[in-house]
Amino acid sequence: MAVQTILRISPAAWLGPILALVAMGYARIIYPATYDPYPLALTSVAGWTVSVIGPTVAAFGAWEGGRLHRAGWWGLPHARPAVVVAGASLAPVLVAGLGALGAAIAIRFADAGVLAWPDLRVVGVETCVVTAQALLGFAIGLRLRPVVAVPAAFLLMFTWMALPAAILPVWLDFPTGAWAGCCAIDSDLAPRAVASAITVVAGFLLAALALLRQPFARIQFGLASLAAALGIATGLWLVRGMDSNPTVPRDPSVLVCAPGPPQVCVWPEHRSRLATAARVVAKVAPVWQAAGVPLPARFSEEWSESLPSSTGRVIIRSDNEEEIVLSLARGVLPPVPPCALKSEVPYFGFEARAYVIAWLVDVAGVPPERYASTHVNGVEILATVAAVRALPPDEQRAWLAGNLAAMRACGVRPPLEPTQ
Amino acid sequence: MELSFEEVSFRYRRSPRPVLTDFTWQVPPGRTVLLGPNGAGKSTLLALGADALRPSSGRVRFGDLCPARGRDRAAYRRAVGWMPQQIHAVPGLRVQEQVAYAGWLKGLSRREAWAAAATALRQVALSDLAERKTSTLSGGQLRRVGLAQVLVHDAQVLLLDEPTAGLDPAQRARFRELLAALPPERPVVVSTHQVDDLTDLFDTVVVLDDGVIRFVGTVAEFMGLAPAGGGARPAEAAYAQIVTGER
Repeated sequence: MAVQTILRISPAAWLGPILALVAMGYARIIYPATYDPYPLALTSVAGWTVSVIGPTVAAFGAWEGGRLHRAGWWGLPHARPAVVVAGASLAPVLVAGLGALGAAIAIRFADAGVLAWPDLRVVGVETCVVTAQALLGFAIGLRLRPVVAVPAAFLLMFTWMALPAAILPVWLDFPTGAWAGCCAIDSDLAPRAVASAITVVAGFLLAALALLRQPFARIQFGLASLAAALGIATGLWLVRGMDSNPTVPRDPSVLVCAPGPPQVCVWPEHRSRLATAARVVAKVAPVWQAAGVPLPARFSEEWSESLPSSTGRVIIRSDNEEEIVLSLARGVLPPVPPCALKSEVPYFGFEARAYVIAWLVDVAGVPPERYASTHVNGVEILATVAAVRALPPDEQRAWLAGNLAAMRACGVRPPLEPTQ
Repeated sequence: MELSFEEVSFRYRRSPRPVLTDFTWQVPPGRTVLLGPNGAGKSTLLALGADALRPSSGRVRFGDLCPARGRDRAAYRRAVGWMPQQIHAVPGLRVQEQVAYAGWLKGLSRREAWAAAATALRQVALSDLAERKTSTLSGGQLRRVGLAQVLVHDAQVLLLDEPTAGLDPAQRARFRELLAALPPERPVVVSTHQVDDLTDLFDTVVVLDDGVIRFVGTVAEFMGLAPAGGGARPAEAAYAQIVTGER
């Protein structure tokens, strides 16, 4: 069909700009707290709009399928393959859907002030999701009356995109391809999540192909349902038992480091903050060392389940020196031990963290109010830190050692108050 | 190249009895009228010829092209033009757009299809309505659109299923004019259950009844079957003679 014909008759062509506006609005208001200029995170959060775009293109597709259904043209002996005919009918639908996705990604990058390519894995998966849902909608439109097919296609796809996200366990929605939980700057997209979304896409495509096939028999509805169900089941099996986000630790080989000791390593997106961070480390490390603080050999933004104890985990979120001191103070603390995540033995180390961070900040010359004012126990923390700071250095060391010990093990009560 | 049916059998999925059994026929050159009562198998035969239906056994061929072979299918479907009984408007499309779309589906490029649609509409005298939405056309106009859809891709053989059904006498006369204007070297099969459609326009008359060919011959030979003194309607008398054995 000529472009002017498509523009005249296709609802996708008229409503595509509105869909793009809706997607852009969603991309801006959903999870706005992606502060890092990390292309994967920006792409993934913008790609979450596929949960709206997918059902909409399925409805558009059903309308286009209904056009051929009403005219009785699908059963005619065309010389072109069925997939090509479907593709031509779906061209405006795909332009509308992928255009909306592109607009959502663009606005998210623009808001973050990032000039970079979006993550191609996420773009690829979302493109497949949009295409599969449009084709499945088209196939439904071929077989049912439009008055049934259009709402049915929308509701089926909306249920698939929204329902798993609303129930537990959290990994139920990873196969949808709408990954709002991806990714903090130290994380990468889990290949299992990608594989599961692609598997569901394959199931949907097979379901669509079963419905496209001529001559049509009712059993094809059964085959299509089976293909979609198998795709979803396999997709869920691939992500079963995953953590709360569809992520894995990011490859540490891309870290950018400043020499130490202690060395400071940041992700490439934080490269501009590295010099400031290194300067702050050079300033506070001797002070903390003199106060008896055991320092790691390096501060790094790397995340891993098995991070060595010689690495202090930090996230350098800004250029502000006081903020950097706060990050370094967190990096000095020992990691939470695995026993803390089980309930057999109580872990008291969480209570100690805020007090020790405030003390470290104060020792580094930053007013502890900067930290404590945001804490629910801010007043008690400030009072305790002031009391500890009034103690002789040896007693401060002992207070610190006692609290660090409580953080490293379960069942150990921290000596929060210096008199305890 | 000729369209041929070789020992073709076909039965609809839920039908207890086959429509065609070991049916063999070669479409003759020129214009052929396929007569037969309702349910004789005319539409099924043409749909099989167009590859809209697949035989349960036997094969349909056009020259060396066999639609059952995947590699031949597209070429076969381009070579055979089929106008089904029901012509529907594609919602939203204008006349020339619908005809061009039919051409594109038969393998023409968009540009070729658009130009060929204009030519086909001239052939069926619908150029004036090229910009009208097909959903606003009358039944007769829609049938002409259907004919244009068959002509648009320059098929080598045309199968027209009941093209005059539902048309008034003036429209049927108009259709005969269109048929007469088609190039004589292109084989055309027109199915009908109305003996009134029989004219000198046709080179061959075939009578199909209950899936079996009862008569093949020229119009003169067909008329010759009418009993002497058969009255003002010799064609009907000849037809009744073949189908029911009435004298």
